[in-house]
Amino acid sequence: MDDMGNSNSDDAIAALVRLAGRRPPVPEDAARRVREAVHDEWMESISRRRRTRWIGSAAVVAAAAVTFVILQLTTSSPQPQPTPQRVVVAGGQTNGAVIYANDVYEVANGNTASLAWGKAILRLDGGTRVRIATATELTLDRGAVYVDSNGSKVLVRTPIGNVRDIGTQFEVRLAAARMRVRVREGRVDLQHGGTTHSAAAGVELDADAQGGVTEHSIARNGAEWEWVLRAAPPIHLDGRTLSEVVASVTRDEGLKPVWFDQTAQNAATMRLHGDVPMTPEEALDTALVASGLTARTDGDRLIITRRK
Amino acid sequence: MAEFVAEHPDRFLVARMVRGDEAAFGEFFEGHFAPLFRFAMPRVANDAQIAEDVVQAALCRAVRKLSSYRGEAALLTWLCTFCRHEISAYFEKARRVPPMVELLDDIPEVRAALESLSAADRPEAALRRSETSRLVQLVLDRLPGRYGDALEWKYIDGLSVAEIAERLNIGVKAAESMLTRARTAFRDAFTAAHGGRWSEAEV
Repeated sequence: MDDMGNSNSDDAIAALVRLAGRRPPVPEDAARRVREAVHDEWMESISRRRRTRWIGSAAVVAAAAVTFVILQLTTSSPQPQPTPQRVVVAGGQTNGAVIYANDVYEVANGNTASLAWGKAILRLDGGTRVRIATATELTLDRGAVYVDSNGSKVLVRTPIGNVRDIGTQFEVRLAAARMRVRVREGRVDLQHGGTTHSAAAGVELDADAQGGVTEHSIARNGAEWEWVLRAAPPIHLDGRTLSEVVASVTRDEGLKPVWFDQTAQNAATMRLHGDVPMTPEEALDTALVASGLTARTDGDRLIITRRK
Repeated sequence: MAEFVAEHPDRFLVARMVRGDEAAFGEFFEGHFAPLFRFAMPRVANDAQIAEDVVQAALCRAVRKLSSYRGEAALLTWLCTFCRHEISAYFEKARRVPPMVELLDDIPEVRAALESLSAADRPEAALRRSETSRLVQLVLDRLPGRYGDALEWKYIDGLSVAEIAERLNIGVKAAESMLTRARTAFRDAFTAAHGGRWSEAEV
């Protein structure tokens, strides 16, 4: 429309709005009463949702705290304690705790835990017992750990063999005098029986106590990895872009994100808001819904498209 | 907010509310209570007490079901659905007959036009001049954000752009830009709802 057209449009809009007059105001006292009532209802619904989410986590924290105290009492020695080496804990069901070198962590069956272990993220499956030696070294006594090393070159010792990561995500599981190493990303070296066995992403090494090692191909996502997702630390959306959240969650799920159409690609860089911590599934769902997108898995890919 | 969801900003507002964002609740209430109250009033024989009750019931029900809002329609349209239900429930419970009124926004074509804000469907019947005022007010209620307020301040209250900027706590250039977008949105919505070239409207 040209300038004259715009001018005419503006004049007519002004005339129409004046003709209609001001919209009827709403009574202020009614607005205040309704706002209070609706706000109470909203807060209650939010509280219900938070209670549901954190009941499980609170139980785990309580169990972990009890375990920690018991272990401290039962493993105390008359000898001087070594200077504790602090390993920062951030997020996960143990959020707020502080762990030190030589501490022992146990997780009850049916629970999971997540620790910030130096630069790495450490997840513990139910029935696991680990001893933290340093910020890059631990001993797995039983159960399973999943390490996202973030390049920190960690060493996982076990009674059967030692696993040295080379920038990767991997799981080490002990069961009935056997040890299983599953590599999701990057590469690890298993030192076992005087030999070093390398395993790349998508490979499982199965080692027995007699020095035997077999190698298998494995999927990098699916049911075998579900506990890793359950043990993931909560995700905070605030200030993160959609693509960062998607990358974080798909990495945990062993999937590659595919931003399928232009709408999805455009939304990838948009920044999210919100201060409620969420599970990875909740975070992904909320972020996608809010951005008008949807997603489906196709093999090892997460296809992200515009919501129809 | 708008930069995150280009097509359906209401979806993001609701997502923030679901996560417990207090500011989002404020935006939700400030942006939707008055239009919903005005939606209810003529449908309850202009009884303000009944309107307050049904709007409160509708909003309470809606906030309990926020996670089911998928953004297929504007949030106000979604809330109106709850409000219609509460109005029906009220008259059923009170064993009263709803007022026999035919409202512009009960005409499916007009409702669709108000919802889409860009539809080109011409309503079947020409709108009467006496209804034009109500249509303008309906359109103002359905405009995004504070567009409706800004147009009223500009054309009814005669505020300057600087004064509007001050009310909205934004810069003068941002206010100018907002007024331009508000006029465009109004023109598109009114054209669609009125069913004719807007410049031929009965002014």
